[in-house]
Amino acid sequence: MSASIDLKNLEKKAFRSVHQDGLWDIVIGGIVLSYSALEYSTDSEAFPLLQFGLCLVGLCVFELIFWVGKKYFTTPRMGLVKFGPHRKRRMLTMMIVLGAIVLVQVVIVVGSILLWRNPGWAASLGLASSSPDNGRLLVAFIGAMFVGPSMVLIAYFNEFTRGYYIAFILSLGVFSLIWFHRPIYLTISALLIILPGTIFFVRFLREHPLPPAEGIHD
Amino acid sequence: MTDTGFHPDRSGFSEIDRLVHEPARLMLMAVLYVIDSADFTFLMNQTGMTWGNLSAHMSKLEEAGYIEVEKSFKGKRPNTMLRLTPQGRAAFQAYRLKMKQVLDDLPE
Repeated sequence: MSASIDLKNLEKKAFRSVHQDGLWDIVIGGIVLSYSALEYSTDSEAFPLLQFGLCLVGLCVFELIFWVGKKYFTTPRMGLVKFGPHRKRRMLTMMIVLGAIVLVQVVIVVGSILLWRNPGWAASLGLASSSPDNGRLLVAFIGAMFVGPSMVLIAYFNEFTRGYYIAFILSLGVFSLIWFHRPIYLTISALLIILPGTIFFVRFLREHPLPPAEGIHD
Repeated sequence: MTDTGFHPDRSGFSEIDRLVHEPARLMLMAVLYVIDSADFTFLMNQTGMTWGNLSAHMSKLEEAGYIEVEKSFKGKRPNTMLRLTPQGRAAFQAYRLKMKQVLDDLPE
């Protein structure tokens, strides 16, 4: 009997169950939605302040939704669990890899600014673009590469399967935002992330009713 | 009656830890073996057991020294976490090996 117990699969199933409430999707989509508010522009002078306010309020609201959702909805239904050292090592590896990616991104941003301000350097390196469209395409591609791979890594290390979908939608949203100059694409991407998350959350609540009072073991 | 040539070694079967061998407890110990610790609600979700059933099996495992109960407070709410003791881990590992050995010894 024990020979048929797949312990790795059992651990994986237990670990993945932590993400089934859809709250990660909602908070990631919410963060993107909040930042998308910064991309809209009008002629009004008061608008930038309003944008920052909207962004800040959005970030706070979605963080609050995540915190309240985990504390008052998920944990009482799902219970608490601590995983073994293997998971802690995996998280540490993820932090190191993500840190390295952020470092590369900083180098790319600083390099881009330097080349932007010194066209001569760009020309000497063969990076000067004759067409503004090519330049924008490159920036759109780099923008998409900033968000996509990081999200893929988070999805991989956390066994968060929907994270791959989020990475794709996010990359597409950022690319479209830069390429078409239309913030609505980022807003749509955010909604395409929040919507499945909300469906998962509702489904989670339906499938996991609160355990009876005696179930809350004290 | 024909002799199949297979004569099981009864001592192998008798060495199987019956406390672990019971399916519900085996499932419970397997879940606890792959994690660090968990509370009752999480274990109920993972094993599909009712609270009463889980509680009964936990008591037996605790009496045998296979699991330990850690009581603490999360804010104002009491929180009970359960984990396998080193003895419990060793018992589960020994059970796996024994079962594998016993099943491998069976003819095709």
